Amino acid sequence: MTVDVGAQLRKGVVEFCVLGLLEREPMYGWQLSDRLVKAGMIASIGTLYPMLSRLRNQGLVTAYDEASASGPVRKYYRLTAEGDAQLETFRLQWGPFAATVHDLVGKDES
Amino acid sequence: MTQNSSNPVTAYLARLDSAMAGVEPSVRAEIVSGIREELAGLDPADAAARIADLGDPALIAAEARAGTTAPVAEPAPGRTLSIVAVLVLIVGSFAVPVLGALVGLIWVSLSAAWSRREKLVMWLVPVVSVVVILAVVAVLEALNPDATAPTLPLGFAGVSHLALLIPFVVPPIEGIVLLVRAHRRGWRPEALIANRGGVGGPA
Repeated sequence: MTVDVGAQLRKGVVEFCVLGLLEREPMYGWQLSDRLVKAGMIASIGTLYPMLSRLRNQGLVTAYDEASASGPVRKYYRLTAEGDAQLETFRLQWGPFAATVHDLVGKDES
Repeated sequence: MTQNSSNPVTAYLARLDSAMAGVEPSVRAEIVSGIREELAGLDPADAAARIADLGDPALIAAEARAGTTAPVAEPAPGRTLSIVAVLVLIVGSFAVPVLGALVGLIWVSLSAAWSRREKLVMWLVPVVSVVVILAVVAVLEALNPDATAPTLPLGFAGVSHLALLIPFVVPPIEGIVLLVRAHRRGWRPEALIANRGGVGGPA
């Protein structure tokens, strides 16, 4: 049985990575996709939009149109208060979770 | 080259849009407009580089399709049928004597909302009740064959008739119990919640 471990791991956290990026600043789709593809979190922009759609339906992210100084009007995404709270909840759990997994599967380096 | 500047972009967007047939319309529209926004206003060389970054529209469409078919808190499968089954058991027992109860029992047996053990108990209770009542009557009659004053308050005949009431009374009660139990579990298949002795606990 072959399991794509990377894909399984990404699946569980990639939405929180989107929330994390949007917490820093509102971003447009391409910008988000570019960051996430380069970070190896998604395969293509095709993965991003269904995710954004889910996050919007859950009320964690909201979209608005804004004309950039040099470029065209773009659709920007930003975090809602609920998204912020969700991200905070994730942060609180992620540290202990990662530490526990490391304890369970990590090799003793001493 | 300058003359063709918009052509590769338009062509790419057209390919992308048609590759995404069947993807949820709002997602499809967002992807195409998001990419159009990005490609608009770029000079041809930059646009070509961006298109190369984006890759095959078929791949983007496949990813979008995979992303939108993820189940979102869907109700337990077969929930409606399970509810109908248990209602048939409750109401059917009154509406169509014996046959109604039988249909209800069979239907509930086919539903995934209850464990094998619950179904077994459901079948055994009415059968065992009838057998026990008839056995009690038979034993008492054997012990007291020529009694003019009946041993039991209702008399042997009366107690025997209790057995006839079983198909009317027991299945609806069972139906109500099963309804409550399944409702507490959100009608999810019992097998998914607890594989072993799931119903043996303090319910």
